[in-house]
This record gives sequence, C-alpha cells and structure tokens, in this order.
Amino acid sequence: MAAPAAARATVAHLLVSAGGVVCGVPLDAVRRVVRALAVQPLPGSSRELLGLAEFAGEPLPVLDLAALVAGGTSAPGGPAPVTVVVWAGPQEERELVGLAVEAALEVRPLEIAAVVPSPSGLVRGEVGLEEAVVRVLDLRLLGSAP
Amino acid sequence: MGRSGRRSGATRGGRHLNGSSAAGPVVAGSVRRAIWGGALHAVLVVCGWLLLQRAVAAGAPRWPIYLFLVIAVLLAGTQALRFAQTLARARATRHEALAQGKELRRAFREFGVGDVVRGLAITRTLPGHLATSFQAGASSLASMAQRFQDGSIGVAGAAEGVEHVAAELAAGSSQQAASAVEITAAMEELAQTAAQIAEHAGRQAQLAAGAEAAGVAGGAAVDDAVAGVAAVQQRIQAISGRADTLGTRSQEIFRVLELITEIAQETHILSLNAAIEAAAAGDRGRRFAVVAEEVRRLAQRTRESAESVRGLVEEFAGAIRATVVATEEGSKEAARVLDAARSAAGAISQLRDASAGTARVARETSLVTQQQTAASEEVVATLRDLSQVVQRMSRDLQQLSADARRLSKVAVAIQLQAQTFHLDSPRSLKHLIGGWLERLDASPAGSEAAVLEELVANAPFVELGYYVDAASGALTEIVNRQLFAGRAVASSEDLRKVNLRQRPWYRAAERDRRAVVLPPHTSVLSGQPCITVACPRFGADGSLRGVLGMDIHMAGWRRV
Amino acid sequence: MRLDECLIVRGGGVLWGVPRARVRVLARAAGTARDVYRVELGGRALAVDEVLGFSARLEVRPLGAVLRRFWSAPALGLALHDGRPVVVVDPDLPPGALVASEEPHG
Repeated sequence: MAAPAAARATVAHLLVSAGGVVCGVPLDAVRRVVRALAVQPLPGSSRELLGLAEFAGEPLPVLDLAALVAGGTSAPGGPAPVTVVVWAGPQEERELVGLAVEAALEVRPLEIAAVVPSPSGLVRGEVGLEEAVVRVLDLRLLGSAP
Repeated sequence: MGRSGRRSGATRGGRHLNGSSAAGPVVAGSVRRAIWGGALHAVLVVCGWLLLQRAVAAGAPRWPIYLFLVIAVLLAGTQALRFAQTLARARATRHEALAQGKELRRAFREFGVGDVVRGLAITRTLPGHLATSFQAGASSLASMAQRFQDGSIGVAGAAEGVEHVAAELAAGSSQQAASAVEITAAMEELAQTAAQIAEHAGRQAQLAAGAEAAGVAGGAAVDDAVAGVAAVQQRIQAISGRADTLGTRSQEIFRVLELITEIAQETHILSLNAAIEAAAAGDRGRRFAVVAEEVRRLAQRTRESAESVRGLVEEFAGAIRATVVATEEGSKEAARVLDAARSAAGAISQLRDASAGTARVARETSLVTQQQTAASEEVVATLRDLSQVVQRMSRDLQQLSADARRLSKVAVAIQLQAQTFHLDSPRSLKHLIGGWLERLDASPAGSEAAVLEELVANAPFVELGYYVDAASGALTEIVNRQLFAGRAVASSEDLRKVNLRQRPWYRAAERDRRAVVLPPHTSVLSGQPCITVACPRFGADGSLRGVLGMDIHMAGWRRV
Repeated sequence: MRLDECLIVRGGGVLWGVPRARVRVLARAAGTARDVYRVELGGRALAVDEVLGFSARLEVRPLGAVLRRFWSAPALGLALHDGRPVVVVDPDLPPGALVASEEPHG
C-alpha cells in the first residue's frame, strides 16, 4: 500500500539545542558543524545577527538560532559554543549562514507526517520525540522578511 | 616672834631694869668707891692716931697729932660730903632709870606685839644713847621684819605659782597618764593587728609559693601544648601540602578530561559532519554514515565517560578541596590555637613571673610584718613601762600638788605672821590701815563714806572698805568697783542684818586695841581668798569710837 | 567584485575596506586622548580607530538577503583580509558608525 510507506517517510535532521529548545535542521541544508567561530559584531545590526565570521575563506554572517526561534540567546555573554553552517534562503538565492546554537546533538531521521505544522517565522512545525519536542526549521524562510 | 618673844624681851628688860637704873653700875661703883674711900680714910686715921699716940708716948710733940687729927677730921668731913653727894646722885639716877625702864617696857611691849612703829616712837623719848641703841636694834628688827614681810609675800606668791604649776602639771600628768594608757592600749591592739597581718602575710606567702609552682607547672604544660599544637600545625600543613598536590593532580586530570571532552566534542562534531557528508553523498555515503554514527556514539560514550570521570574527579576534587579547605581551616585554626597557645604561654610566663614576684614580695612582706610584730611588741613593752613611769610621775605630781597647796597655805600663814608686824612700809597692812584711820580722823564727821571711797579707789587690792560705828553699829561700806568691773558682785545686804560688832574682826580690834590681821577666808564678794585687816578708832578720851576694816584680795595684794 | 588596493581600517570594532581610489586624505586627528584617524573620501570624512593598511586584492562578495534582513547599513559587500571579515564601504554611503563628527575641510 503506497500511502503507509509515504506516511513513514523520514528526513534526516540535525538536532540542535538553542535557547532551551530542540530544533531540527534539515540535514540537506547543513553544510558543516563547527565550534567556537570568532564572530565580529556589526554595528547597527539586530539582535538576531551576531556578526560576521570567516568560514572556508568566505565571510559568514552568524545568526543566533535561539533569538530566531525562541526569543532568547544561545550564548548569553559569550561566543556561541557551536555554529551550524547552513544554506539559508530561497533555493535560487541560498547563501551560507551560520546558526549559533548551544549544542549540536545528533542526526535523527524525522517522520514528515509526524510534523505538526505550526509555522512561525523559521519554524515549520513540531514533532514529538521520546526525549523532547523538536521544532522543525525551514531555512528557506530565513532570507525572507518576517 | 610672838607673845613669848615679847615676854622674853620684857623679862630681859625687867631683869636689867628691876631696882636699878641704866646707870646703876656706875652709881654703885661710885658708892662703893666712896665707902671704900671712907673706910680707908678711917683706917688711915686710926692708924695715924695710933702711930701718933705711940709717938707721943715716946715723947714726940702732940702738935703733929693735933694736926693729923684736924686734917683727918677735914678729910673725913670732905669724904662724908662726897659720900652724901654720891648717894644723892645715885638716888636721882635710880629714879631716872626707873622712868626709862618704864618707857622701855612700853616700847618692848609694842615690839612684842609687832608694832615696830609705835615701839620706835616710844624709844625716841629715851636718852640719846639708849634711844640710839634701841632704835638701832628696833631698826634692825624692823628691817628684818620688813624683809620677812617682803619675803613672805614673795614666798606666798612663789608658793601660789608653784601650786598653780603643780596643779597644772598634776592635771597634765594625769592626762598624760590617761593618754599613755590609751596609747599603750592602741599599740597593743596595733601589735595584735600586726601579728595577724604577719600571720596573713605568711599564709599569703605560702599561697604565692603555691601559685608560683602552679605557674611553673602551667607554663611547662602550656609549652608542651604549644609544641603539640605546632606539631599538629606542621602535620596539617603537610596534609595541606599533599592535598594541594592532589588538587594539582586533579587539575591536571581535569585538563586531561577537558582535552578528552574537547576531543570528544570535536569527534562528535566530526561525526556530525561525517553524517552530513554521508547524507550529501547519498547511497554511497550510507556506510560512511554508519561509521559516522559509530564515531558519534563513540564520541558520545567518550564524552559520557569523560563526564563520568569528571564527576568522579570533581567529587574527588571536591573532597580534595574540602580537605584542603578543612586543612586550611585546620591550619588556620591550628595557627590560631598556636597563637592563642603562645599568647597563653606568654601570659602564663608573665603570670609565672608575676607569681614569682608576688611570692618574693609576699615572703618579704611576711618577713617585714614579722619584724614589725616584734617591733610593735617592743614598743608595747616600752609603752607599758612608759605608762607606769607616767603614772608614777602623775602620782608624784599629785603629791607635789598637795605639797604645793600645803606650802601655799604655809606661805599664807607666814604672810599673815609677817603682817603681824606694824612697819612703816607700804607692804604693812597695819601701817596701811593706820594711814586710813589717820585720814578718817582728819576728815569731818559723817564723811566716812567719801573717805573710804577715795581710799578704796586708790587701793586696787582692797575688795571692800568698811567702818562700823561703835555706838550705833552703823556700817559704812565701799566696794572696789574697779576690782569687780563688769562682774556680778555678791550682795552685801546680809551684812547689814548682822550685828557687826560681834564679828571676829571687830571684837579682835576692840580687844587688842590695835590693828589686827585675821586669817584668810573666802570673800563673799569675789569668792576668792582674802584677809581682813581691822583697826580700832579711839576718841580723845581713849574710848572706842568704831572699827575700820578692809578686805584684802590676796592675789592683788601679792602684786603690790 | 575585486578591489585592488583597498584601505583596510578598523572602526567600531569592525574592519572596513575603503577603495583606495576614493581616499583623499588620511591623517591622524590631533588633540584627542587616543589615536583617531581621519579618512576623507572627498565629500565625506570617516573617523576610524586604526588603519591596518592597504589590501592588495580584495575579493568582495555581495551582501546576501539574510544579512540584509538583519543589517541594513550601506556597504558594497563583504570580503576577507588576513582571514578576518571586512565590510567594504560604499564611499558614497559610508556607514554612520564611521562618519566623522565634522565635515572635511575644503
């Protein structure tokens, strides 16, 4: 039966924690997970933008995922412990962006059908796991105005 | 001197003058010479007659016999005439001598009663040689009597002074004796107190010696404690050092764990990136994804193990820190205890030194108090002896005071005796009252008060001057206001109620018919010793008109 | 975009790149407690904290949409200089953080 197989379709996500929230970043959008990127703040930027860093020979804007999804901060008073370099924005204009998180947990396949849609900014929906509720992110929305 | 003296003088005078005159021996000698001359002349005549008769018988002419007879008769007649003259002269001299003897008896009678003035006045009527001799003798007597009067006054004054001094000394010595007894009692009490203090000091010395020994023992114990605490501190410091070492080792372990954790995290990241790359590789990366997953799990286990080890090491480090803290606290406590012990040791050392000093002072104090006790006992014994001496002296002074009082009374008696002489001297009371009597006689009748007023005013030693009329018994009295100025004077009203003519002084003057001095008595006016001098006043017919009297303040009289 | 001889300065904690061709005056400002450099760009003057030097060649990337969403300051793009990100300044629209308080002389 085709419908049950499609219902159990999973997509690999990188689970990260930010602001006390576990977020799931589609693995195909993840470029690299790095630690302790030196970020240079930009004057006049919003609080979600931590600043600019260097990654793979390119300037990389770094955003605070906790500020983006939970209104908090991933690194109060200090640099973010882990930065997930992702492709953000629309497919045709995607760019590398760094998401500062508290920790990169694991790669977990998530059932698409189990994602409860609750679009809110960067969050596409939520899915419940044994240990936590994961907010599934849609990074294509990152470049769009809120 | 006295009645017996006056009698003996009269008797001597009587033996000399009785039946013969002062010229008796001369007259008697002339009579004897006359008698012997006559007798001799008779013998010569007889012998001459006999010789002439023989001669005549022998044939000698007669005319010598007749001539001899004539001569003899003439000589006999002359001799008889001379004899008669001598007898007449002797008779006249005898009459004169009797008269002079009578005067001398009167004079001696006056001398006998002490009235030298009157006696001398009588002797002035005697012949020059007698008067000279008697006056010389009377003058010597008067001079002696005057010296006696003056001396009696001086003796009386001195006796009174001695009596006062003796009384003061007696009173003072009594006070001193009482004070000596009090001082002796106080010193005995002091000696007793000193003995108690010495006893206490001895006990204090013993206690101080015990405290000193305890201080020494305590100091030794504290020293041991200090040494023990120091050793404990050293051990704690050693433990602390080892704990520090353990802490250092744990830090190194932490660093290794950090490194392992870092590696685990990197490995975890690496595994994630590997998973990402595997996912990007698609099917070809599936096995790589498995490896990546294994690596991730390995990293996770490593991280978990590191965390576990970290927990253990943290626990161990916590224990080490606690141990370090405890050892530090213990070291601080030990240091504090050591400081306290050292302070205590210092304090105990000071206390020990103080105890030693106190013990030494206590011993010295005990010794000194014992010496003081012995000295106090000696002082007490000396004071007892002194008290006895003072008491004996007080008794002697009491006796001296009694003797002085007797001496004073004797002096008064002597003074009175001296005043029995009537001398021409301002120190002679009889002479004084005689002068008053002369003034009274020279004043008009009825002026006795005025005269007495004037006389008393000029005699500061006279308390009272008075005159009693013999006929009426009327009293005229004048009190010396200067003597009683500002003082209350006893009333003399009672005197007026008494028959003053029966008073001793009046009767003595009336009886002796001359000035009299009565024995001392207490004045009714001043309450002080005084003597009464009274003198009779006679009329022209020799009858008693009255008696003049004065009360002499003895103390004031001695200052004359 | 590639820039040759871009002046690299630091101001406000950020590295900025100024096209050398547009730099008129580069001087140190006198009378200040710390060194402040004055960069005149003809019509504008920039006050920077440090002049690092000139970069021989700078590969400038345009600002992405994500960055634009969160940072609206005018800039030509981003580049790297000695491994550190550099914001390339639009000389005609320098960022407010660099604009000096006084107008240039002349």
